[in-house]
Amino acid sequence: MSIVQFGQAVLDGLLVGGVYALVAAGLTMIFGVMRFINFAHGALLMVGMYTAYWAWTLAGISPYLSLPLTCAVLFVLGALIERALVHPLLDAPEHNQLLLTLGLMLLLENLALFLFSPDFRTVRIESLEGALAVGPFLLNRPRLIAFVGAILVSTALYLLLQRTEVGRRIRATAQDRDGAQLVGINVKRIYVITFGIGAACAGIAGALITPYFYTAPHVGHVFLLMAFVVVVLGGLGNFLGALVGGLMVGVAESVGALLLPGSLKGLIPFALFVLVLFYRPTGLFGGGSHVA
Amino acid sequence: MPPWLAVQPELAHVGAADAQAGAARGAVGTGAIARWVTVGAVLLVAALLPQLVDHYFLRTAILLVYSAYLAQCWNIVGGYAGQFSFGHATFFGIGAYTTAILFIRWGISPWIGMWAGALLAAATGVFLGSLSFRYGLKGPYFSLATLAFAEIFRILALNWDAVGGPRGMLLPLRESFWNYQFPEESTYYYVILVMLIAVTALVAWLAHTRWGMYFQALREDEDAAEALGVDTTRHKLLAMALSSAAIALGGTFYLQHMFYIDPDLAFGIDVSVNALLPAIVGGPGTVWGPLVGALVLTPLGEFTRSALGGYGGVHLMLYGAVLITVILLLPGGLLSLPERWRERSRRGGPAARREGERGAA
Amino acid sequence: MALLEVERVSKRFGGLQAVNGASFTVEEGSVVSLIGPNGAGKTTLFNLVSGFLRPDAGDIRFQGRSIVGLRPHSICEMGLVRTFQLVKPFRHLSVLENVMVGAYHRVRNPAAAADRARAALAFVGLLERAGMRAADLTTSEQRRLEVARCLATGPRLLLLDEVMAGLNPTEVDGMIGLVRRIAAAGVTVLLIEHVMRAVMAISERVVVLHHGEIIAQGLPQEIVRHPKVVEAYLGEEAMLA
Repeated sequence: MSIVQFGQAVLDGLLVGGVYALVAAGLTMIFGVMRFINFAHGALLMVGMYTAYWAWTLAGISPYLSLPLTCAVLFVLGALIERALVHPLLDAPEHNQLLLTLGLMLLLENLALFLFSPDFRTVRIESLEGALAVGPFLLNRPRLIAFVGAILVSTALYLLLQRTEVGRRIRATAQDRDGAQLVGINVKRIYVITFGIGAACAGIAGALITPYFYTAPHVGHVFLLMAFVVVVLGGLGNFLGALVGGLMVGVAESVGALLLPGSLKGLIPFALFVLVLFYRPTGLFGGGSHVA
Repeated sequence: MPPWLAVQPELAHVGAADAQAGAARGAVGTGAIARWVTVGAVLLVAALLPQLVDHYFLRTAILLVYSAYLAQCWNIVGGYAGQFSFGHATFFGIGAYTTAILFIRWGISPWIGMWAGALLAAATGVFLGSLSFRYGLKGPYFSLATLAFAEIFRILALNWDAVGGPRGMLLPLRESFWNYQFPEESTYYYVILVMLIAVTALVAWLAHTRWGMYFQALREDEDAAEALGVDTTRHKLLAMALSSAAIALGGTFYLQHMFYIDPDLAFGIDVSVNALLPAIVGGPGTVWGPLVGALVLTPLGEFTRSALGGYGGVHLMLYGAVLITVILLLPGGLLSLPERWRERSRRGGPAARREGERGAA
Repeated sequence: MALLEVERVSKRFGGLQAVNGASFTVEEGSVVSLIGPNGAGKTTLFNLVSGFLRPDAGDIRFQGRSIVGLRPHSICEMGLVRTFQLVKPFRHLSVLENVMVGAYHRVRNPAAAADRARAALAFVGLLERAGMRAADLTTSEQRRLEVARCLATGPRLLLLDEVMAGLNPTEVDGMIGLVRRIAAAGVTVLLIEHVMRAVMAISERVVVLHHGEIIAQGLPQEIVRHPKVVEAYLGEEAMLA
C-alpha cells in the first residue's frame, strides 16, 4: 500500500465522514436533549433520499436545490413522530424506546418497499459527475459536494444552538429539564423542535448522498449503525463529539477497507461498533450529556 | 445456633396464615382446573389439526407454531431475564448451519446434528454474553451489541466458502425419518408442535423454580437482586445459554423444512425481529405470551401478504404498526389487558369518580 | 473481633472526596446508627460496605475477612444484606415472590422458599399483602417489604438505609418496633437515619459522618451534646426532633 493510496483513503474517509457527522449530530441531539434512543434514524435518512429522488425524477429539481423541501418534509415528519409516538415514552424504560422506534423503522422501510419496490434507484446528474484532481489525489465531485453540504449544515446547526434563543432553550433543556421548565421554557415544544431538527439532519444527509449512493428501502441500516458508532464514540449528546467522531469513523472505515479483502469490508462498521461499545461507552470525549 | 437463624423459630407458627395465603393463590382451586381443561382442549385440537384442515391451512399452522416456538425461546432471556436481545438470529443461524454442514459433509443425521448446533449456539451465547456483561453492557447497549453480533455472523457467512458463501447450502433430498426429511407435511407439523409444547413446558416449570425467580428478579432490579445474593451475571448467562440452545433447534427445523439456508435467512435481522415480536406483542415474561402473540401476528401477516402481495416484507409494515401500538398502549403485551381492566375498575370507573366529586363538594 | 470493621476507608468521585479515611466498628448483636447532615457520605459508605462500590483506600472486614472487591451477592452470602434509600421492589412480582427471592438464598425448594418468605412477611406484618403486586404497596409497606426480603436471606448484619424517611409518626413507631424485634432476634443492625427520635430510641451507639469523615462516635446521649456534632448540624432542624 503506497502513501498515495493511504492518503486517498484518508481523503475519501473524510468526505464520507462529514455525512456520518451530520447524521450522528441529529441522533446525538435527540439523545442529549430528550434522553431518547431513536432507532428509526436510518429510516428517516431513507425518507430524505426518496424525497430528493422523487423531486428529481418528477420535477427535475436537483437534490441540492430541493434541500429546503427535504428539510421541511423531514422536520414536519419528525415533529409529528415526536408528538404522536415519542412523547408518551420519554419516561418509559429504554428498551421500550428501542422497540417503538424499531417498529417505526419496520413501518417506514416496508412502506417504502411497498410503494417503491426494492429496486435500487440512482440520481445521475451528468454535470456533477467526475472528480477534482488535487495533486496525486482525486476528489469525487458528488462526494465532495455532499461533504461540503454536510459541514455547512452542521455549522449552521452549531450556530443555531449557540447563538439563537431557541438554541439556548434547547441547551438548557438538555442540561436540566426541570430547571428549564422552572424558568418558563416550554419543554414540550422544545422536544418537538429537537426531534424535528434531528430528523431533518438525517433527511438532509440522505438528500446530499443521492447523487452517488443508491436509494432503496433498506439503505438506512448502514447509516443507522454508523450513526450509533459515532454517537457512542463522540459521547452521547455531545454535538462536537459527533462531528469529530464522524470524521474519525469515516477515515477508520475507509482505511480499514483498504486493508480488508472483498466484502469483508462490510464487517468494519460492526467491528467498530462492538469495539466502541466495549471500550468507551462514555465516548472519547467523556460522558458529555450536553448538547454542544 | 448462629444468631441469624434465631429469626426462624419466632416466625415458625404460620400454619393458619399459610392455609389462607395458599387458598388465596388458588393452588388447587376451580381456577386451576379450568385452566388445565382449556390447555387440554387446545392440545387436543392441535393434535387433530392435520386431519381437519387443508394443505394451505396446515402450512399456515406450521408457520404459527414455529413462530410461537422462536418467540418462546427468546422469551427465556428477553421476557423472563429481561435481557432484550435484538440478535437472536445469531444462534438460530448457528443451529441451521451446523446441522447442514454435519449432514452434507459427513452424513450425520440432523437429529444428532441439531444437538451439536444447540451446544455450539449455547457456547456462543455464553461467550458473547460474558463479553458484553463484562464490559458492563446493559439495556439498550446490550440490545444493540447483540444486533451487531448477528450482522457480523451474517457477513462472515457471506464470505466463508465452506458454508457456501452467498449461495448458501442446499440439502440433498434423501427422504427418511432418520434424515429429518418427511414425505408428509403433517409430520413437520407434529415435530414443531412437540418442540413448542416442550419449550413452553420448560418455561412454565422454570418460572416457578429458583432459577426462574432469579431471572425475573434481575430483570426487575439488578442491584436489588445482587444485594439479595443473586449472582446476576451467572444467571444472565444461564438464560442466554438456554435461550440460544433452544432457538438453535428452531434453526435446524427451519433448515429441514425448507431444505435451504443462506446467510440472510440464517442471520438476517428479520429472524431476530420475528423471534421477539410475538413475545412482545403477546406478553413478555409470561408463559402464554409468545403463543398469543403468534396467534395474532401470523394470520395478520398471512392476510397482508395475500391481500397486498407485492414484494417480500410487506407484512413487516403491519408488524411495525402493531409493535408501535402495543408499546404505546399496552407495553405489557396483550396478556396484560385483563390486569389493566381490573386496575381501572379497582381505582374506580366514572361512577366512583362522580361519587368522589359529590363527596368533595 | 467486631462483626464489621471499617478501617480508614476512602472514596473519591472525580473532584469530590465522598468518604475520607473513615474508621468504625460494629459489634455483633448491637444496633448502631450512622448519622450526619445531607451529603455527608453515609449512603456511599453503605455502597462501599455492601460491595456496590470499591474503596480507593482502606479495608473493610466482615467476620474477620476482608470483603473489599467482593461482589454484592458474595457479601450477601457471608451474611451482610442492605436495603436501599429509594426502595427497589421487584415491581411486577407479588409481595410473596419478592421475599422468596431473598428466601431462595438459603433454600432451593419453591415450597420451602414460600414458607420462609411467609415467615419473614409475618415478622414485618405484611402477610395479608402476600398476594398483592409489589408496585401497589404504599411507601411504608414497601419499606417493610425490603426489610422482609433481607430477613429472608438469613443475615447476620442488616444495613438499613433511611427506612424511616417519609413515614408519619405512627409508621415511625411501627418501624422502631420492627428494628427492636430484629435486634432481639439476634441480627446486628447498622442504620443510616435522619429521624433523630428513632436514632435516640433504638441505637446503642451512634457514629457521626460529616464531609466524608467521622467526627464523633459514642453513646446517643454523648453525641447529642458533642460540640462538633452540634456544629455540623447547625441549621439542621433534625437535631431538635
